[in-house]
Amino acid sequence: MATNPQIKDVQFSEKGLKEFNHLLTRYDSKRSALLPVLHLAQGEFGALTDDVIHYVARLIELSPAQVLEVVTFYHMFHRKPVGEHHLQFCATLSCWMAGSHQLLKSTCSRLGIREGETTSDGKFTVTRVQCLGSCGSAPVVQVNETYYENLTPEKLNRLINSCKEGKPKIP
Amino acid sequence: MIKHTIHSKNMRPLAIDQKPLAAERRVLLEHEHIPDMNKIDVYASKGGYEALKKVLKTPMTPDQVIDEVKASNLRGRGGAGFPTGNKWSFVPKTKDKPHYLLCNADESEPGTFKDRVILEKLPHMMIEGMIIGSYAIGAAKSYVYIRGEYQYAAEVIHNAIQEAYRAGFLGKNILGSGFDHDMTVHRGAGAYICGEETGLISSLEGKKGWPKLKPPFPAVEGYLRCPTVVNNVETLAAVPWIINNGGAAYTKLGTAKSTGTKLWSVSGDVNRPGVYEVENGISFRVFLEDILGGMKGGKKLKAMIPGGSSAPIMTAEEAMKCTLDYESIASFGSMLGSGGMIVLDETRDLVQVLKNLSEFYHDESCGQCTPCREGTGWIEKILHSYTEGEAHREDLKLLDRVSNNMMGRTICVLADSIAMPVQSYMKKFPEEFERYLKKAG
Amino acid sequence: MAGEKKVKITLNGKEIEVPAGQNLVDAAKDNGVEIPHYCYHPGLSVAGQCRMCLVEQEGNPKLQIACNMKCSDNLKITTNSEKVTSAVQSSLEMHLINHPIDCPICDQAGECGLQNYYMKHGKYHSEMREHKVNKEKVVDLGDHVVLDKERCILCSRCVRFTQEVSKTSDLGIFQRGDRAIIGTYNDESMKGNYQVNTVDICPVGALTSKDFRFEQRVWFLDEAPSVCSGCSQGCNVSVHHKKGKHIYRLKPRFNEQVNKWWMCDKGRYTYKESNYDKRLSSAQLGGIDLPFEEAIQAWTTDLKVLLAMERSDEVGVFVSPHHTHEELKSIIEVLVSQFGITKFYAEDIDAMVKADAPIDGFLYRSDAYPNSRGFLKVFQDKKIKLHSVNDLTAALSKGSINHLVMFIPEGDRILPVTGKIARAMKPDTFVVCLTPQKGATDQFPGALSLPSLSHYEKTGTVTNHMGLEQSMMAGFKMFKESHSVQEILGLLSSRYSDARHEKGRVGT
Repeated sequence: MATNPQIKDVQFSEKGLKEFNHLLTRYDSKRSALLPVLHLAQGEFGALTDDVIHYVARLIELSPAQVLEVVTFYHMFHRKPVGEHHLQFCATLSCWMAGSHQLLKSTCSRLGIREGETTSDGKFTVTRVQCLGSCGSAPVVQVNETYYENLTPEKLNRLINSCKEGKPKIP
Repeated sequence: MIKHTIHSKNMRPLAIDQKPLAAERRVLLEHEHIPDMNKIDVYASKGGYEALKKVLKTPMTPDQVIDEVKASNLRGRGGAGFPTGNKWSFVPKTKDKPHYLLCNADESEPGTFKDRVILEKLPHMMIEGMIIGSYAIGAAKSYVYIRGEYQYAAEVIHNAIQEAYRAGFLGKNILGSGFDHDMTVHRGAGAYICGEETGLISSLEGKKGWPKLKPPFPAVEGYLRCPTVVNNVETLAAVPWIINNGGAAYTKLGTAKSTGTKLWSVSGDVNRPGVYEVENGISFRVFLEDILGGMKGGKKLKAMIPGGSSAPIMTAEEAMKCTLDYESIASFGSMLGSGGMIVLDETRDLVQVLKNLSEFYHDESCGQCTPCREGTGWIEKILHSYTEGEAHREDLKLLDRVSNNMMGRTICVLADSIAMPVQSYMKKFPEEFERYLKKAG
Repeated sequence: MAGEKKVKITLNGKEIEVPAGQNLVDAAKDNGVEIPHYCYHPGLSVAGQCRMCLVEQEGNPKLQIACNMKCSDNLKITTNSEKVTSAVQSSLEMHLINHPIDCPICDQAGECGLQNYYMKHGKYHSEMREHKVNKEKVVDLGDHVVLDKERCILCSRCVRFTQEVSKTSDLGIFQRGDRAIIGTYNDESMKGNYQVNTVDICPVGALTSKDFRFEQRVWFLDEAPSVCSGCSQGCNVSVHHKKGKHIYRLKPRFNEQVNKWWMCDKGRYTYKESNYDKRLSSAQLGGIDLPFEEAIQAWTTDLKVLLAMERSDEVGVFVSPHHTHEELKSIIEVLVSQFGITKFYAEDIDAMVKADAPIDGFLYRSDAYPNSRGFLKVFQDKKIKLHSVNDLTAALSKGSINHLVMFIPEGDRILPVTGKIARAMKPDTFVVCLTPQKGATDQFPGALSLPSLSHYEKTGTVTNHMGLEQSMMAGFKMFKESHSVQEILGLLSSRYSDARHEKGRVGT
């Protein structure tokens, strides 16, 4: 039976609303602001849940289905929260040739999860992504917003360790 | 606040005192190695924004700007290679609708990472080029559509744009010329198809990145159904130099039909992968030996993909014969494209390479039109069965037929971007495929 | 249309004249050339997604899609070359590689775009040896529509419809590549009064009507052109019935002025009033079946008595705008001209017409009758005053009306009105109900009931709110004993004349 979702009201913080209003002034159509607003909402709410999507739809004056089309089309938008450290391994061509698939597999193994999953303590999510535009320094993993290039299994290990300590870096 | 590592260790040029290699020709990258070139005062100290001043203070008319760019024979550096001056001249002169200039910074073509240098290190060069281009086509607003993953670069550009506003190079009545212009950074969210001209426009309109039917063409009916020009980062970054030195001077670089210089992003089995700027027309042999440091581990060259993964593959023999310009590469059945070069040595299994590429295109197909949506999936599945399961000769005939049926039948060229490589790999390296047939016995 | 600019194009070597700017797919169709297509629909924006309508254009090495071409002078098109037929075949192949072969259980079989084009443009041996992409099947989208995401060929017609026509924007295409799926937000119910149109325009069995699901194979259905009975818009419909015994569904028929390609969901189900569970299927007296001829006799007898005593003013007639012009004419001819009856009663149709307006912003209107304007005009032209329902109930209670003729329309809507009338009657009032619906006769337990035709069995004309006179041509009758109003009154008239003649003969 078709179920209509129970939608709760959510709101941007004052800072978020200020940014939202500023974004609207940069475009000649409200809808053009949709992607930046979704980035903003994902940053503030952690994920683009049903509540958030309905909120954004109201703000941009679109139907929830129209917003969901965009959310499901673009890889960087998530409907569920990702782990504290989102490890995105580039899987394409030069990175693949440099062994990124093995790095992804070994990371999944080490963390005890499958590709696409999040560890039960919420610390790590491991996903496969397409070319990150860093082919000359392959293999590359993007952790949240940051690229870590020229990886080796050993460097990756240190990276994950430092993530576990809460301060990601390659020493 | 987003923290960033220094992630350009292998993005040549690198160290501060690095001298250019003899074969390089740093036109855009002349000052790349200078620290803080992303800051406006450092950029200005090296002659930055002189071109903009020349345009707005002489003043040059928009048509004069277009003529100068036409005279340079600058061709689009994103992949299509379309003459930039011509593209700008297609925008109607009437002002009943607003005009827009969109900078395509959605660099997502596998093998390509050259725009990143400009975005992160030389943003003002691109910004200056954008303001000049917008002036030429009468655009009051421009957008830098940057791929979502380049978050660091987006921050750099955003800050640079603020600096430009503060310096009076953006905003109202720029340099007292009466020309108003606003520029905004717009982040994508992870979709290769948004690097396609009309896919970018759809995405900027707040929709899925579905390419649009042509006609109508963007110059007449693009973003918000208004006249729009979409240019690549590198293309726009070349504009200030052309204005400063003249279009004719640009033609003195490179070859007659491929004027100027090109940024090449090189990856794969070479000793020095990275971003290099060379004059068009340099031979691949010199490029490989003098700039790239030769093949890694002294292995033999097997194949070379010149223009990003969408470019048909070239054999080692062809590569060693070609020069890096549009015409020579095209004569070998490939294309210069984005300049995303991937070098493959004798150990590489080209069928596995093709399979990896098919996974990319299958993932990235937007799904709008049937031949691409279904064909990209089918090709990946066939290659998967071929390499993981049992390889049959009929599979090769099928691959040929399916890829042929996708070419020239779709709304945009993503379908061709996998179909043409499939055709070229099968045609130029049949023995790679035969090996699997023998295995299957 | 007169005055429209024409251009000359060449289609398969033949020079033809077509309206300037006409879509090439339509222009070809008008000239007997079928260009296959799925995503193109003349009522929606051009999508150019299916790539089936590829044609050769002179001067262009690449095949072009016809749906994105507007006819202009000197356009030279070929649709029947080997290059085109082979391209169409491979486009079709791409549509089919992941399509589930559900034909044995799919409602769309027999009117399916894939089946039809496969027989015309396909007929190849499948080379798809890989696993097909699987997606959700039997997704409940609310009261009217069932979705099968796997069957969907992603032509986007339904999405464009909800964005451009019904304006609900509740359908979308989510995800990308061959994972793309049509649906609503989280598969919730579709919105609005125009949902089933998406089923009409879906070329395959992805969107199907819940009401029609598994009911009937379409190759057993006959079609009859008619006009919707639901309101005064008068949307043109096609009645799909099996041998005139049962109606299975209505589909909209194209009409440029009235409803284009669409109809509302409320109107969609008005056919249910025609089917046996709602019908009075034989004449009855006091709830007992009797032969039609006997029923007419009974009516004639009572009428004859009253009219002989010149008490025609004791005859009251309840009418409604559910009738066609032809039915109303026969009511006037027989009851007024022949029998001199003057007392006609109806709901306040005048007020209904004055207040008539669209309810949902599109087609569905507040005037619930298909022929209010026609109805009023007939009575105005004949200068016959229409009294109110209250007048009738007063007259019935007083006993000043002793012979009541009720022309009761189909549908529940009238029942409160007829119920009111039934309660006001004295027990000895002679009541004749001419109606298709059983529910009405239940309100008049002692009545003489004569089964008349339901709306969709009628052949006749009605006038919609625009003043347009439109024809209905059923060509079938569902029950042997039910008759059109014209036939019933015709029989009454001739039996009455016979009776009088007889009487005359006997010399009373």
